[in-house]
Amino acid sequence: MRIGRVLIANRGEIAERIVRACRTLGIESVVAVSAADKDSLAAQRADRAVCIGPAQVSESYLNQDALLAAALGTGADAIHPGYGFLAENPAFADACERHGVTFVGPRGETVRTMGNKLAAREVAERYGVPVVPGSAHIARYEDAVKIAGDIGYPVLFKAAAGGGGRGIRIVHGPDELRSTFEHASAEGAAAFGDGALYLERYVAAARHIEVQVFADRHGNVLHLGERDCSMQRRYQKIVEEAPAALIPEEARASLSESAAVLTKGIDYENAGTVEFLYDEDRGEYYFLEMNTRIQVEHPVTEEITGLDLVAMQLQVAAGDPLPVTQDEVRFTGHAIQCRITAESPENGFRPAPGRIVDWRPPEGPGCRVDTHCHDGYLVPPFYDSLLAKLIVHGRDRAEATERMRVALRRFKVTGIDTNIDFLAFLTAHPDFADGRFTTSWVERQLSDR
Amino acid sequence: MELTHEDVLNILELLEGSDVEYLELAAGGTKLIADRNGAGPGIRTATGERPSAEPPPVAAPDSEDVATQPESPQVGPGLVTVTAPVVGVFYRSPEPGAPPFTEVGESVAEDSTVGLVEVMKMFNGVTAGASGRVTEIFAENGAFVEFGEPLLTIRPESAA
Repeated sequence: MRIGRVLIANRGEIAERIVRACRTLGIESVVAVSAADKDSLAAQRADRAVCIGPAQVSESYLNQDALLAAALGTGADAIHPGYGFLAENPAFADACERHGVTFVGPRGETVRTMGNKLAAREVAERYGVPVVPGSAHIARYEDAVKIAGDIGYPVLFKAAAGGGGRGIRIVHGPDELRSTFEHASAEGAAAFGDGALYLERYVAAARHIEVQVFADRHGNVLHLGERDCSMQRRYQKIVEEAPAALIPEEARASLSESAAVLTKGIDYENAGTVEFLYDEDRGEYYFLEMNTRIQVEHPVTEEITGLDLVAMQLQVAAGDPLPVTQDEVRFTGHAIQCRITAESPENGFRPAPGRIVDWRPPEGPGCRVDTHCHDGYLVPPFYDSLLAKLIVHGRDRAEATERMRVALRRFKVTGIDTNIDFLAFLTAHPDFADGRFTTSWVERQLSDR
Repeated sequence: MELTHEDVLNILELLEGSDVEYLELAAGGTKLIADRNGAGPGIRTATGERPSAEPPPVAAPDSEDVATQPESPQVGPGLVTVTAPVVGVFYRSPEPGAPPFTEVGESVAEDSTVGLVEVMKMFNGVTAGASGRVTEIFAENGAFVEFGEPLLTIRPESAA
């Protein structure tokens, strides 16, 4: 099956990124835009833009019928969902298939299984991938008491239907268990329509390590190395790097192997990311979740492998075999990405949409900027605050870090507030250079400041 | 019980003469939502099937040049432009073979239905939004239209 025309069901930098991948492969691109994004960079660079609805996401980028109508109406044979929005919505993947439009991603059933944390945890265990010591579904408070006692405090309650850091509550001791159990259950029911909970050991010194995987429908599976995304604020990644040079070599190898086994086991197709928690104190890693889409931080993997992951997504979706074998994958140097956002760190990271006056991204060797912004661009208030991804590549982590520092200094944006100075502070910190940081490091810096 | 297209039109007509601001009606596989305060079209109907036989042929998208963007038509001063309330396929008549909702030169009331836009089997009524005479119709029957795309223009009649 050939893909000749792709509808891009997303916005911002990733829409522009997908347009570029389409151009590389000689595929026509149609970008679906809301009324607020009609003049976006992706709209200008795509072969065609189609306005699918007003600015509100429920009427545009989350409107499955409008997106399908746009795909069918423009003769697109595939839909690339990017990340966020409908990228991990199994009903949308199914609807695409029903209407004969190729969904650039895994099958709907895979998205459904891996989107449920409990189901995903069970699948991981089935394939021998270590999971955080904890429970399956907790039905009664009495069960929680016993399991929490077995695991040892502190423990975490997690909503089965949660994700992206939402629906997680920490319990420090037995006295907090009942109230937290009740709160977390009610919260899960309200936020996700599902009050099901499970318990996990709370890992105090944790690193977030994830493995990029790729699989085609001919049974070929690749792992493209790890990324360390431990620099987080409120479970949102800020700085990402590849490879995960700060954990022991044996752990890295074992983690990648686990990810590949899981990917193969579930008969996965297309790009995916298996996320792990690495426990620094115990030297163990545990499966967290699998993201069944392209990740925001995919460029660091592209930089160290020289592969175009978005183009590979389109090739695999078209039924082509993966363009490389595991033996042919070469890792070169070290890459770091910073997420540049329209946020005001001085005001509690309040979103700061508005009109950009001057947009001066840095240039130079080993420096890449994925963005949809330009001079005079109006950052709309309806969407997330990501403005750009600044990616640097160096021979080793030290060179990459130095390049990132220089690039951030040279990144000039006027007209709106950004987090550039905050990123400069983080990456210039001795703990960053020394690799002495875990997932709670950023929050600690903020409370110390 | 299934609502026929005629039922829907009758209900809408009844609503037009009433004070009802919002109506949601589900019967069988058909759902009808009418909202006078909605920002979009005045009337939104959802049915499982387009009533009656084959839909009119839609220009085969494959043969279409992807670069063909809808041109913004020149609209004269004082004219009201009616735009597509949703992305989808535009129909000028309530069903294949039936006379169009309106023609150039005909007069329409503010709440007249002047077309339908189909989104994945969901038919959305397009209301005139102004009373007056239709001066031009841009979108052809069966054409793919974008959200906000101009469909026709109306020269409003003086309120006096």
